[in-house]
Amino acid sequence: MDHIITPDLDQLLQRDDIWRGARTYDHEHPAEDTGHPLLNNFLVHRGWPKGCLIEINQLEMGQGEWLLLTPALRNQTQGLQILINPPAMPFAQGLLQAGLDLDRVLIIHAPAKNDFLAAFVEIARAEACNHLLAWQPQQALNYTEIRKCVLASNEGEGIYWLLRHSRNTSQQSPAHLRLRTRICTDHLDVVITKQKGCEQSLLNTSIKLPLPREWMGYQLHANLGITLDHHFNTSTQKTVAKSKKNY
Amino acid sequence: MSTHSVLSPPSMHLWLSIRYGEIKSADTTQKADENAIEKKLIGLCEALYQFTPHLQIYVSEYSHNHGVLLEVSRSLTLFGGIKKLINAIHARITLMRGDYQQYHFAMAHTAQAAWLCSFSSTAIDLEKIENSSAQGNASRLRTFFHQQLKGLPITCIEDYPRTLKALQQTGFILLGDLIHQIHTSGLRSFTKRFGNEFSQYLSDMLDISQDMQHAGLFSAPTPVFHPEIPFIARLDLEFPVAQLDLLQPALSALLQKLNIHLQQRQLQCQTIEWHLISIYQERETLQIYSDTPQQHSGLLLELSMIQLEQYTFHFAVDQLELHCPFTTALQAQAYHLDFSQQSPSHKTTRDFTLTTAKLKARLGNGAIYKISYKDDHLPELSNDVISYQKPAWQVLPEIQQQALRPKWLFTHPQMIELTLTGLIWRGKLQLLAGPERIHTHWWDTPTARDYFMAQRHDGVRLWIFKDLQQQCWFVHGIFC
Repeated sequence: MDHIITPDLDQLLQRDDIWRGARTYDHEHPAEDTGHPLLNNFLVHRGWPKGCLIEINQLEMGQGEWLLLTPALRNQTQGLQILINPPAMPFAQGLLQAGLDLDRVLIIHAPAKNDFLAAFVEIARAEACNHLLAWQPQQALNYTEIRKCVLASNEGEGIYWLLRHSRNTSQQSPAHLRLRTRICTDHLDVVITKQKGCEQSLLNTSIKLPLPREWMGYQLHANLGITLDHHFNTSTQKTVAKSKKNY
Repeated sequence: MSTHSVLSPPSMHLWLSIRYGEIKSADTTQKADENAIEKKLIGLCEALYQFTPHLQIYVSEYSHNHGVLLEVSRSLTLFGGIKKLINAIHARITLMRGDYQQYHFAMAHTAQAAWLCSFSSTAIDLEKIENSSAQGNASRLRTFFHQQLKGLPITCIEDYPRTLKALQQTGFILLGDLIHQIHTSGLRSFTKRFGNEFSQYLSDMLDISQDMQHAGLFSAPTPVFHPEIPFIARLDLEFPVAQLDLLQPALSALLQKLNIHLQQRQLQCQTIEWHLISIYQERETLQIYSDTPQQHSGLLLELSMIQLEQYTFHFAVDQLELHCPFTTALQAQAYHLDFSQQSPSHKTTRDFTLTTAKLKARLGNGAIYKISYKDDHLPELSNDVISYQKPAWQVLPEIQQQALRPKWLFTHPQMIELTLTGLIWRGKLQLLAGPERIHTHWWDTPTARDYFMAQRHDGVRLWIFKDLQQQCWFVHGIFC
């Protein structure tokens, strides 16, 4: 037992992945501004951490993923932004309005799990890729497979988001940072469920990000429901009358 | 006294033409026939390369005549004269398999003249040519060949059908008439009437200067045939191997040889073949394709590894062969011309080539793409899927810049249920903004839609429209 070499404590503390209780990281880790000052306050590195896997859990598509990530994508003028298995076709007009450069947005279709993992690993290691948005394939990834993605992300210098269904929230994940997003009537609700090296108080707090003003609708349309109902009723009555005539 | 020998180029060229007759073929298969003919002639050139390196193929655009032209003046001493050389060529063609046996041959001082002489029905006086050639009497040979040409009809000149028709209408019947006209009035009259190209053809055919009526002072260099040399390299493994990681050093070593071969010859290749051979000489072939021609073996090794990862070894590999059947001359890197000046960051995609090649090998060509804006009022038609190598169009008209547009678009709009309580699509919808009328494509499929932004009960913002013709509601996109 006397021969066991004990590593120096300082040497151990050099490592990024040592949990230090309530103490946050002392040394700097490269990060990129999220574009949401409120969210930055809750992130240890004051932005999206680079060279790490970030997991985003959502109930379905359309839960504010673009709203959350667009500012970071827009701020970078170099490097590719790659989408693996997007749940629908990105709309060129919408992306252009958001200020994205379509020449740097690449879409990769890899529905099989093995292909997805191979594509994720290849892209994460490529220097040209600055941002990666990967939607997990239909066959859910297990811990070991996400670990592969984590290791590949650690080799790169970009920001790597893995978007998964919220039913996976209860499962353990080796991701560096885990978030849950949900769009509400007047805000985007973001909850950080895991963050390496952060205080417990930062976790599981609802962060309310404002929605764009034009999404709030117009007052005139509030009354449209009534008119619309009237329109539906009349059109339905007409259809019924027509069908009766046919009989 | 010492004897000095001086090597000098022969005083005149001697061209031998080997012409194959007409092959009747349907117009639909003409292109395929042309490829087959070219392949056949290249095969013939490869067989005749032992007699002279100066070979060129000829395929007429206007008839089915095709053949090979050989410049043999430099080979006469080596093969012991014209007769012996021609006999050796005949013997070599006889040995060849396939449709090579029925041909016409002729000899003249230029390639064009030799081709025309092959239409002559009289036999060649090889004795006379041999004597004149041995004496080095170029002018006598030229006169002899001119005499031969004079008896031929002008219809032999197949490559200029319109000029030929005009010449016939003017009263020219034989090539002799043309030669006589050139002797009396020079080539200028032909240049003036039939253009520079035809005049140049006549001067090349007769080997006379454009301005002066004597032998041309400068002639074009004789073409040289470069036979395709396929790359084949073999490596004997120390012991039979059935694992990829043990095979990798051998793959790298052979690809390194290919690398050197390509670099030395300034070539590039797009396809390689791996031949896996067992100790019982069983053989399996694996073809590797790259989307762009390669000169360096790095990508080819990566692609080979990807393909071999999914390959099941049926036997332990004892010998490994690398074949590179097709190569092309190295070309400088080509980039798409981009006049729009909208893509300032081309350099970002440069080092991504290797990654995309690997991904394409695994996922297929269509798995990687980009989207681009296309000027069309219909949203689904304005979203263009393009190759990731092409530049995307990114200029959005002002009217589209102001309009509400989602980030996700459904390729096929999804129908909304219309109930007495309102619109239902995975929950009740409430209209937030709109309408924006899109009324377009009146010239093919008339379309009229009213677009709205709607909010579902859970807060999800949808881009919906009412089809004014079908009177139905659809979800077309999601704001998020």
